[in-house]
Amino acid sequence: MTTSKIRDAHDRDTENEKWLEGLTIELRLLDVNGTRIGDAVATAREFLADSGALAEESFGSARHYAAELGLPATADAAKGVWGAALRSGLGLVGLMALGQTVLPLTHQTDVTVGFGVLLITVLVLAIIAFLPRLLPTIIERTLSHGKVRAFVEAAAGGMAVTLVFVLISLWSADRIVFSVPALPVFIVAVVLLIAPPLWAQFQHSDQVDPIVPPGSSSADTPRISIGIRLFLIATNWILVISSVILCAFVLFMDTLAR
Amino acid sequence: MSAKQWPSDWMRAALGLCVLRTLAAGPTYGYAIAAALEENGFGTIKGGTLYPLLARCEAAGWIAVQWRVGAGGPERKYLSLTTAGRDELATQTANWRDFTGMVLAHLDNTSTGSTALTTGTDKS
Repeated sequence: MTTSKIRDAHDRDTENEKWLEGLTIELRLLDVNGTRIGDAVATAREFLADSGALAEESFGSARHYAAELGLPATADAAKGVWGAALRSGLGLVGLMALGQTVLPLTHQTDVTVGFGVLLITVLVLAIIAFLPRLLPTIIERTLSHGKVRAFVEAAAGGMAVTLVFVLISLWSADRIVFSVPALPVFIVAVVLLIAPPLWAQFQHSDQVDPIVPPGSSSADTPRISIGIRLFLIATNWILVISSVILCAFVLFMDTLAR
Repeated sequence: MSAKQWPSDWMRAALGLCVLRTLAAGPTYGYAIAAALEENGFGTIKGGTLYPLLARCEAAGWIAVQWRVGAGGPERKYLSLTTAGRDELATQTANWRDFTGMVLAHLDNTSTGSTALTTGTDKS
């Protein structure tokens, strides 16, 4: 008797659904369009229901099976990932510039740009540039090692990067590279912050590629709930929200220091 | 029929043709194809083997796909041979007969061993 037959049907179904979720992600990572993903997942689900087998035993790993199917990738999927990375990069530069500008603007002085700030900006942009390449590995690790371990690893990584930034700041405390008038920098920073999410907000409806189950059109797919919709809007505008909080905090601390 | 375990490279060579042959009987779905092949002595055909093969046949235009609601059950993906698929089945079947005939003729040829000895290079 195979292990699949010994297992309880409920456990098997739960495990199979987890595998199908993994297959969806793997096909997404291969840039397959939503309609084809819906078809592939429904086909595998049908076979598993008929055979009563465990997905891992019948299909192998989700990653291997997704690759074996050889489904064609959508033409502009890669552009979407790089576009998102570019938008995040511009937004972060805007956020950092705004953080440096808010006090000089209120005190009507020039913005002094230190060596540390420049170095940190370059490092942040480098991390964002590599993020699209790292994303598939991060998702696979999350799937294979579990969410808790992935969270711990992400937190450790974040703390390590923050430590490096703090050390750079301490090391380059008085090393000023150049100073510029605050107002133009402030205007550029605001544009860099607001333009990317504004563009993404208008583009969003065109770029949605829902996973369509066979026998239904993309118009039939369930609409996104208000909660998820608000979450997506908040995610899109997170850097703008963060910059408002950052500016308020800097001004508050400045008022206390006086 | 007892499920004899055939070498995997033999199975890889023959499975595509045998899947097309199974579909020649009429539209059917994935698990039914696997069950029919198992019944005919091919052993258990896993989903990870069957569906990539079906996807390649579909991409080649040999198979047409239609989702239908089963009798009281969930939707099923029914597969059927296209005209190009029937032509491919006929061509591959003829080629397979020629190939296996050639292999059998070679295996049954009792003079092969002595021919190899007489035509082989002998440097001594």
